[in-house]
Amino acid sequence: MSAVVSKGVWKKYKNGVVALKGVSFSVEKGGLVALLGRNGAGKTTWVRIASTQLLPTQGTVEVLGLDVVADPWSVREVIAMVPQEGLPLDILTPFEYVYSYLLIRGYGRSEAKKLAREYLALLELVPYAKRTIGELSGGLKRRVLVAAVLASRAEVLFLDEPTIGLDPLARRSVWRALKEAKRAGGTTLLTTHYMDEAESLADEVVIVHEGRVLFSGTVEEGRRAVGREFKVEVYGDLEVEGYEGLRLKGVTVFYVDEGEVDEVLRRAVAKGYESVVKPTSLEDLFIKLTGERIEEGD
Amino acid sequence: MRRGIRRQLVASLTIAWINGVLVLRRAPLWVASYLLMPLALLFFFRIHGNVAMMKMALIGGIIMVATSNGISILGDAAWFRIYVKYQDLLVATPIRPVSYVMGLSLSMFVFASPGLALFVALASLAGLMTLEFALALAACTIAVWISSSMIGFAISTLFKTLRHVWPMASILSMVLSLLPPIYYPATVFPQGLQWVGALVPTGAAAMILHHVAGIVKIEAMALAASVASLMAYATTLPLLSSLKARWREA
Repeated sequence: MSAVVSKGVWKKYKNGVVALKGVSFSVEKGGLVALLGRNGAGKTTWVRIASTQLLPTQGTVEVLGLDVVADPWSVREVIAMVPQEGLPLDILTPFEYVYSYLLIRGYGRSEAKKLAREYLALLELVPYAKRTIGELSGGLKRRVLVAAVLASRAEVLFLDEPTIGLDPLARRSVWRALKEAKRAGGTTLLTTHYMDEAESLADEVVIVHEGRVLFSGTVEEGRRAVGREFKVEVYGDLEVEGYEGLRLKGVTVFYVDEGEVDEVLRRAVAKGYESVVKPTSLEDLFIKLTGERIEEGD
Repeated sequence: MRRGIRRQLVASLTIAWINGVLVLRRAPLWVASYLLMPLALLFFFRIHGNVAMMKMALIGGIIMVATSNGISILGDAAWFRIYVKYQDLLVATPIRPVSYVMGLSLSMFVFASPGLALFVALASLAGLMTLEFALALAACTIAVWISSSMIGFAISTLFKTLRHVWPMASILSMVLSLLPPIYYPATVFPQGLQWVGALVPTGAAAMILHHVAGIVKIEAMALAASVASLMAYATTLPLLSSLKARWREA
């Protein structure tokens, strides 16, 4: 059963910008889906529509069978959302922030206290629970926000760039918490432009570029869609006869099968270029679909 | 899980707790910042004026404290919506816009309470506190707080960046506290035109309180206009602000 269904969603802002151009995909109940794309691809616009903050120009989004336009109050009972660039209130302690958020959602005091403690522990925030948020680093602040939203135990979670600006350890702490939420049966949709995040966490990925969905499927299907097993990244402008190289800001990328790796490497070394061999990943699918790296858009 | 009105009420009180009680406890300097102006005015009226002027400054102080704190919702609401995205976080919850606005407004009242307590105590010492005056004062203070915080919230929705928000709060607070007949008697208006003072809620409240305290004799029509104006502001502005809360953008 699908927890989230997006059908032909278009969004044209008043200033004429068309942010979404017929976005369709679905998220299975209990699944964790990553919406991948560069900044400005339309991810946040879609999340704002799905979380009842923005009206679509055309198309529908259903959350657990409830239409976000026609029945927003029923949708709000079952969702929670981490806004992009959101920050917790700096005068509160992490405990007060999570606890108050849960009270506002309707939890009783004892249950809210219990959940706040549990999720602060899950996100490794206990040592900071009694300091005011203003004293914490940017990464810790972001984790407080994620802790509050996860602690809500909403059936469907929307997390807009939940790990942006976090160091690798902090990101892994958020990942652990998201995996825990998934184990508890929740459905999660997160936006990111970190490929490793999508590969590590997501059951499925949806690649969005310039308002359109270019790919929707499992991580493995995404890797297979690249068509080749390996890539050779040559740090320079290299041409190899019989191989098509993709030029990306000082790097020439050759997508090859195992038997072709040596040939391309030999040519690169002969011309004095440094080169690296890597297995293909979701990033390569993004490059193949858009002709650009995902992080160049930042 | 709580549901219905009880959940909305708890949500409002929770916002008042985090944005009022906790902030007041951790940043008490704000109280001094908003008390400075009305206390300075009281001092000058006491030094250079007569007893009636001092009483006027005490009433003015109460209205100014309620107004400046009510209007300062403008900064908080804009900060929550534009900078920390707290409003976005709450839109994706069952809280209703009216509960959110009410919670913010209550937090402003929490902030105003030490200042109000101080001026009420001073007014008692000055012999202003008859039963009739106390009742009028309570009603007028609540109406001014509701009106000014709702005006502040509605105006906050117009801003897309924070740059102009803070000066706007100061300007509005000063305009609403100093231009209407609060620190001067409405009798300075030409006869038959005293009702002009009732066009803004702060002026209307001051005219009622000046009259009840026996400091200024307000014309019957102007007094009726003040009561009607204050009631109209206190009842319609909350509705307007809830509609302006922009829970979902087009």
